[in-house]
Amino acid sequence: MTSTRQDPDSSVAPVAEGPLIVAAGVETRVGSKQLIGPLDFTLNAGELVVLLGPNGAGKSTLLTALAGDHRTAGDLEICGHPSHRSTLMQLARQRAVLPQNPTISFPFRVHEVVAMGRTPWDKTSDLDDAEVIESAMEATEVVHLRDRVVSSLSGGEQARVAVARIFAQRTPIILMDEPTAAMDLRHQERTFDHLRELCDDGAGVVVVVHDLGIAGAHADRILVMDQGLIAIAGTPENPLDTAVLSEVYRHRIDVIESPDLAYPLLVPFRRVRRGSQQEAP
Amino acid sequence: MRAARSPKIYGRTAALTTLLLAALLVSIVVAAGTGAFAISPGDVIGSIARRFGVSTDAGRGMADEVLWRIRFPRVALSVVVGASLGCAGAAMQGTFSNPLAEPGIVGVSAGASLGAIIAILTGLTAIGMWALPSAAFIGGLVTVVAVYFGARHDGRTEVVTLVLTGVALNAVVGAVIGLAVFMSDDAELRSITFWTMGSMAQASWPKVAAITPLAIIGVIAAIALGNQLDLLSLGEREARHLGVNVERLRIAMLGVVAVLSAAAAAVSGTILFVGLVIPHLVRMIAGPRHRVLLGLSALAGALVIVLADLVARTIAAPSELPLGVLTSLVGAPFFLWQLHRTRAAQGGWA
Repeated sequence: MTSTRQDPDSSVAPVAEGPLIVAAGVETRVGSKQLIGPLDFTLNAGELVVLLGPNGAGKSTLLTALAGDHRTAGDLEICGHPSHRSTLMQLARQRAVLPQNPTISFPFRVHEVVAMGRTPWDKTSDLDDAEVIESAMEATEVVHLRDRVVSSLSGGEQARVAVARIFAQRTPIILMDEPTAAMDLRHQERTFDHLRELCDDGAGVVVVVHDLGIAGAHADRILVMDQGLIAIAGTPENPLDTAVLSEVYRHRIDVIESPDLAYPLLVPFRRVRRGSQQEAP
Repeated sequence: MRAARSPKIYGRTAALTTLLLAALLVSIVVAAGTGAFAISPGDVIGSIARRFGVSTDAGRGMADEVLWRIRFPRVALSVVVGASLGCAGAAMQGTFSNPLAEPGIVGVSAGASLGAIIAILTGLTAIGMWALPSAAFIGGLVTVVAVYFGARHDGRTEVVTLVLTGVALNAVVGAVIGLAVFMSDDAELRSITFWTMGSMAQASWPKVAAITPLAIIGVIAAIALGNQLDLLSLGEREARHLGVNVERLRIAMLGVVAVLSAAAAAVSGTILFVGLVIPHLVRMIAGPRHRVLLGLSALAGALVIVLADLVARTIAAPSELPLGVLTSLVGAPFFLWQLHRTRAAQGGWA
């Protein structure tokens, strides 16, 4: 990394020019079983990419591979450097990773957990840690919970604390596995609004979600995974092919387009079973 | 991390530190003065002052003799052993990310005792004063590594596996000790009983001198790695994503646990449950941050062992209750309660 200095006005650590992640021919195997790939992927600065796909399609595995967690076949460059040559500490300043089900072992308090996101920057950052932590807690609205023990919070509140920790890490790359699955509507939207702001500041984000509505509304690019490979890709200009999507999910998916909607709405087909016992209104 | 502590927790930590230090000093003076030959707190302090040249008034020869030959080595040993046990417990719980991990329960203390017993039976102790602690250390290290790799799966420690691994290891160690008892003569038998029960009765200045450096190194190393242990609470992958070299941290912490447990076991035998109860109580008051937890657990452990040893040697005077028996009597019900709570929180385990 050429520079790890942070601009106090920006919420993203600046990096060298060029794409944030370049993966070429990346694959992950466990024994003889091919979990994902080989596949190519590029994440550009300012881009919010959503990964969709059925259970077991390899979304989390791809996220793990993009995080540089272990040596995979193929080439992976993070912030312009081959990931296996970066130290763990350098990687921790380049990308933040939110696991699917964040847990914590001891009764740590909310502000302590959010502060853990600052540790990679210990003694290097020009930023005031307390301010960064505070603004991360504001972004997910957990300030009023700051002195609560995390494990005593509701599932959605715990998810907001986990996301705040990722925001506090202030890395140019953010990788999240179903960050909003447990959150209420307001905090789902706030989380993605904040991710959009980070992208506007030059960050790149890859998020796994299951909600087609969130994907359609917030993604710059949607990648649909199936059996370890990227089956189809979509952008606001070139929406997903619902026929292929229905096949991947093995469930009919329709698209609703209307001048009232800012983006096409993807909806799973639902057979109405209610009312067979009741009078029609 | 620096700026984010809330003043409330900070105040409680400072208050607890002060309280523990004061209580430890008072209990040292009281413990040193209590026994068949009673010495007033004033005389105890006077004797210490004279030894360090602060005071020059003539002392009572008999009291000085009792204090410096019998009582002080015993109290000093209690302080060092207690600090080692408390800190080792907190370190092990942090390394395993599990509040039920304790060197005694999972068999590390027993392994250290076994190393010591083998050293006694094979005559290795003749080599020098480091032979016994070294044998205890190797025994402790082998056990802690065995437990670690036996009880971990997919980066987590399951409580059931952990406790059952401990049961198995304690059974193995118990069998070998039984065999050693079967094969040993009377003198060896007495010394083996000492290892299995846990006691401060064999305290001496050379023993204090032998284990104090180990305890100091262990506690300092543990505290130095405390912030990384905090991150490990998030999980192994998450800690790695925050820049922690988990493998290196794990190896270092297992070494620290082995050094501390072995240092304690080498001079006092098997004392169980201190490493379980103490960190839990400290965590309740000062929070789970490991830097604070490790240091305060050492302090609280020292206090508890000084007081427990005082009770052990005075409650049934002139005979002496084994210290290990006393700590187990208090600690085992606490362990059961913790187990119950953990089970309830996890919704039971099949």
